[in-house]
Amino acid sequence: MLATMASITSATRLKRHAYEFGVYSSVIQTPQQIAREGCGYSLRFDDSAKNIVLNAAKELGVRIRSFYYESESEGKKTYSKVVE
Amino acid sequence: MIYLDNAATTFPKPQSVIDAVCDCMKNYGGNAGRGGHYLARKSFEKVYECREVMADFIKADSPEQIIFTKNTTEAINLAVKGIIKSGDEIIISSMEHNSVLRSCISMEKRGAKVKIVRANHEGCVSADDVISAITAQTRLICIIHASNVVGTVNPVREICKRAREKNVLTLVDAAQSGGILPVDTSCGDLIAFAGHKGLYGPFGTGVLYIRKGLKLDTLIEGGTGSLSESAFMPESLPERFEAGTVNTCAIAGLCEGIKFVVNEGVAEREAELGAFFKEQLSTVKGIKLLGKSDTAVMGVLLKNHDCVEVAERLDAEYNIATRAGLHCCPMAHRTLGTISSGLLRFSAGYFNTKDEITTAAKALENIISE
Repeated sequence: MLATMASITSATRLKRHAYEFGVYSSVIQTPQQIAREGCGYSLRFDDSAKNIVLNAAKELGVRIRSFYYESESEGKKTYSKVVE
Repeated sequence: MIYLDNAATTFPKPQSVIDAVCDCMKNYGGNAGRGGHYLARKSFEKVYECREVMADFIKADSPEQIIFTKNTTEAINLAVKGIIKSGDEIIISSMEHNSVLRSCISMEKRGAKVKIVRANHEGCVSADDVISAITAQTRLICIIHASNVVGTVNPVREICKRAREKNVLTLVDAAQSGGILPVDTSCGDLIAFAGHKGLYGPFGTGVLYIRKGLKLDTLIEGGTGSLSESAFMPESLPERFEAGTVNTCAIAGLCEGIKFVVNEGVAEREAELGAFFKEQLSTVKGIKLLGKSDTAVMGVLLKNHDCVEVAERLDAEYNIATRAGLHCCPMAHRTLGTISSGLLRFSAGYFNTKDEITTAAKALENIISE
């Protein structure tokens, strides 16, 4: 799963905070097809950790723009937005 | 050489700082925050680590409040020009460096007013005088923490506390105090640091701390590696104030410099050397030590000698590095009464020894007794 954010600083801060709750994640450049305003960064983590990541972001005051499920089929990645 | 010009820049740098700069240049010099490849990520992680270390060091709420600049002057300009609008009033002390004086005076062209509060004969500004200068138009108070000319320390915490009660912001010039005296977020709403002085980092590093929630205009605009489709700078910190590529290798060095300051007890060492220096100079006839020398910065007035010529002789004949003249601080020299004569400044750092200080005091005595 991806949590998209405006900046790499926010993504890195959230990565470190989420780790304190046992969530391992990585910061990646947001794929172009879902980067709303260009050149954003995202946190990639296991789908099961979504609520922990969300709460960690709330604690930090970091704004997550959207969550996306990642899937791969025939070598092509697709991203579907999580609708709350 | 006996290097006693640490107020200009500390030298030498700790080996850990040199190693960190070289490691970055050799092994992971990608562009921090640009792209997603390993080297760019590794560079970004290092810059972020330095932000965290600095935030911890000054007890900031979060790393985003640490903005990297190229030096203190840029940090001060960012703060002043980011805050002040037409009609605002700025209060500064008469001990300010040209970095504060010139950036504030330049705001007069934009309709701001600068009010200068005079320090006493030792270069110390009274908190009462500063606070009583506040009017309904006062937006910002800019105060130097420790004088780069005579080492006098100003009561910035008290000024900040009392200014906050009147909803006035404070900007502290911590170029000569960061790493040397306790400096934290209770000292000011905005604090400007030199990375290459008391924090023992490389040249080209400075820091501006911005209190959470403060809104500043940008000083420069450009790429931030984020929100690229927008024609405007992002609101998020630190990106809003760090347009263009950051000085990653130097910041990697700064990170180690701050750790060195914390782990090696730099403040205690400098305090010890400063007290010893003061004692040694007090025995030299024909000079007068001006100000309070609360730090290891000694401003020496020479009777019947040109301070620049004495500095030149110390360099040429004794291999001792000092700084003479006005130190980019004409207002301070007017306050101290040394605008015509200038001063000879000795400034010790962590790597100096007491023997070096004794040698310097003797060399000075030899020259002026001739």
